[in-house]
Amino acid sequence: MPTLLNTLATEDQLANSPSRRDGIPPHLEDELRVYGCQLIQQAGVLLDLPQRTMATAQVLYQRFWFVSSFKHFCLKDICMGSLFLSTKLEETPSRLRDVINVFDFLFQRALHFSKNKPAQELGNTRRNLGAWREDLAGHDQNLISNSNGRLSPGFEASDFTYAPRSYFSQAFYDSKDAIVISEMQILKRLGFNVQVNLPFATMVNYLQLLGLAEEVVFISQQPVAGLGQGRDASADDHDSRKKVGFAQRAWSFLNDALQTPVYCLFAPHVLACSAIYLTAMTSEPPLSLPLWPEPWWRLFDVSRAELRVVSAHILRLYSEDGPAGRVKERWGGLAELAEKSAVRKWLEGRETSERGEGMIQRF
Amino acid sequence: MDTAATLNLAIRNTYAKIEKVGEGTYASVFLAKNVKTGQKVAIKKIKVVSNANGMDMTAIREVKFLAELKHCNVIQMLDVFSSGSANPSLNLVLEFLDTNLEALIKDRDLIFTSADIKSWMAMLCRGLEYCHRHWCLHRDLKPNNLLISPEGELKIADFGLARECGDPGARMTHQVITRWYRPPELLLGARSYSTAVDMWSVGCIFAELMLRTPYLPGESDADQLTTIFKALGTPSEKDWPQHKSLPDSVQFEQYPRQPLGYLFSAASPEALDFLAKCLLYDPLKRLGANEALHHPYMKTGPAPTPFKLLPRHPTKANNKEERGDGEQSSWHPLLSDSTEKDKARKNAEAGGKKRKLEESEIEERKRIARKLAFET
Repeated sequence: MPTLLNTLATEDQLANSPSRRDGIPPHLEDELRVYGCQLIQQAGVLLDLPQRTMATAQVLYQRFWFVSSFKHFCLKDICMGSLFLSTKLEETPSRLRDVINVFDFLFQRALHFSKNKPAQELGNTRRNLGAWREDLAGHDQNLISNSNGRLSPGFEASDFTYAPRSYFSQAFYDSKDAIVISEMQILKRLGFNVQVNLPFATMVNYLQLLGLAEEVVFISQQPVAGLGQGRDASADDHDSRKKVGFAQRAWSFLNDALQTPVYCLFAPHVLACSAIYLTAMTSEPPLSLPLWPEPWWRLFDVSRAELRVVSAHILRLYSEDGPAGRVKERWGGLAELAEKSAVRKWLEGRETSERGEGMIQRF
Repeated sequence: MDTAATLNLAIRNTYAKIEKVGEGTYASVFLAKNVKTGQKVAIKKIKVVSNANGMDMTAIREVKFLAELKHCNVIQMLDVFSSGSANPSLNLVLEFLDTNLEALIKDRDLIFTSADIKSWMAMLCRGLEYCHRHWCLHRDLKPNNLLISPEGELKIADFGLARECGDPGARMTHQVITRWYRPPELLLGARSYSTAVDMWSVGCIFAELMLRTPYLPGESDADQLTTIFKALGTPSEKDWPQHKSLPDSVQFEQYPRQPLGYLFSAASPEALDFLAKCLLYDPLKRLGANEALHHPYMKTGPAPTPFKLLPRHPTKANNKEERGDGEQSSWHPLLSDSTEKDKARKNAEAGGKKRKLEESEIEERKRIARKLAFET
C-alpha cells in the first residue's frame, strides 16, 4: 500500500544509537546487527517462509536497534520476535513452536562451533582457502549469508548433532514467553510503525523500464571488482568470470543490504536504484547506463550521492574487515553475545580492562 | 525511561477515559476525551493475553491497516498506545461513532427513502473503492461493521479480517466474511479471490437496506448456497464459467431464476441493475467498487440525501434508556460479533466460555505482565 512511507532513522539515531550510548562500540553493534539478520534469514529458510517475510523481519530488527540498546534487549529474543511478528504481518503464519525450534537449532549449532573451533583457527582456514569468497560467488540467492541454512564447505564434516528439546521442556516455555514479550516490545518501541515497503518489486519495475530485465552480465569470481587479491595470473580470463542475470544479481544485493542499516535510512526507490547502480558498476566490463540527456537515476528521483552512500554501505559488508566478514570469521562467536547478560558482562569486562590499562599507563 | 516509553505515556495521557461503553470477549470499548482538544474519541482496548500465538492476529491486522487508510468513509485511527502493566493491552484510539447501520435497519420507527439508501450506498462504495485502490480487502462487510458518525456519515470499520490483495499466487482462506454476506465463490472454497468478494457483500447490504431484513439468511454454510440459488437461480456454466472446478463444488439442485423486480417491487430499474450486477455469480463480471460509483444508479434521480439529513435514532438519551434494561447494556458498535471470529475465539479458548483462572496462572500472567511493562 503506497500511502504510508517507511519510517526512517534520524541522523541523531544513526550517529548516537542507543547501543553506542550504552558503551557498545560501533563495530560490535554492526556485527550484532549483521549476525541477527543472518539468523533471521537462516531461520526463515528453514521454516520455508517467502523472502518478503524474512526481509520484513530483518527491517523490523534493524529498526528496533535504532530505538533500543543491545544492553537492554536480548539479540536472540528480538530475532525471534521480529520473525514471528513478520509472519503475521505478511500473512504467512508460522507456528510459534516451529519458530522456537528452528532458532534453538541455530543457536545450539552456533554455540557448538564457537566452543569447538577457536575463532583464530577459523579465521586462518578461511583466509587460506578463501572460503568465504567462494561462498560469495557461489550463492545466487544471497551473496554472503548461508541462505540455504547449510554451513559453508569445510564445516559440514564437523560432528554437531542437534539435541531436540522435549515437547514440554521448561526451556520451551521460557522461549515462548520471551517471544511473546519481545513481539509486544517491538510493537511498542517502534510505536506500532510496522509497515515495511520493500524495494524488490520497485526494482524489477525499474529494470523493465531500463530494458535490463533480461540482461545477462559477467561478474568476477571475486565478489566485487577492485577488492581483494589480484586474480590468479595463469587462469584463463573466461574461467574467472561468471555469467549471471542482471536482475538476479541486483536482487541479491538488495537481499544482502538487509544486513546493513540502509533500509532504515533510505526510501525503497533509492535502494532499488542503488542495487541497479551497484550491479552495473561491478559487472565486468561495467555496464554503462544512459547518462544523456539526463543520468538515468534522475528519472527515478534519486541523486548520485544517495546511490553512492547506499553502495558504500553494501560494499562494506563484503570487505574483509567489514561487519559481515568479521561475523563470518567469528562464526558462532557472536552466539555467545546473544543474551543481554553476556553483552553486559562483556561491557563490564571491557571497562575493568580499560581501567586496568589506564592504571598501568598512569603508573 | 527512554523515548519510546515517554512517547507511549504521552499519548496515553492525552486521553481521559469517561466511561466504559461496551465489553466483548476480545475487546472493550471506552468513551474518552482528548484532554487538550476536548474531542470525543472511542478507545478500543484489546486484551493481549499471551495465548499460544502471541499477539492476536486480528489486532495486528487492524493496527496495520488502520494506520495506513485515511478516508472520510473509513474509520480513522488517531493513535495507538499500550497500557496496563498488570493486564497488558493494546489501545486503539478511534474516532467516536455512536451507532451502526444494522441498528438503523432494525429501528422500525425510521423510514428510509430511496435517496437515503443511495446516500449510504454511495458512502459505502466510496470507502470501499478507497480500500480496494490501496489493495486492501475488507473481508467482513456487513451492516454491523458500517458505523455511523454523530453527523450521519458512514464509516467502514473492523479491519480484523482485512488483508492485502494483488498477489496472484496467494492462497487465502475462504473462511471469511459473515455467512449471510459471503459470496458463492468463497462458499465453494475458492482460495484465490479478489475485490469481488467485498462487492457481493455490498450487494447484500443494498438488498438489506431496501428489505429492512437480511436478504440471504442461510442457516448453515451449506444452506447459504441453497438460499442464494433459491433467490437468484442456480448458476449455469454460462452464468459462471468454471465454477464447477472450485474445490467444494458439487451437483446442485436446479432453481429457476426469478427477476429481482418481484421482490424489490419499489426499486427503480437502475437500482435493480446495480443490485443484479453486485450479485453476479461470476466474480470477474461482478461490478467493481469504482464501476459502482459510475453506475447509472448513482447518476439518476433521486439525488442522495446529504448525510447530515439521514434518518437516525431519535436522541442519545432515549437510546440509553432502551439499552439500559436489557442485555444490550454491554453492546457497542465497535464490538463486532462476527460469528467467524467468535468461532475462532471459542476454539482458541478450548473450554469455550470464560474459564476461571487458577491461582498459579494468575501469578504467571502477572509475571508476564511485569516483564511487558516498560521498565527494562
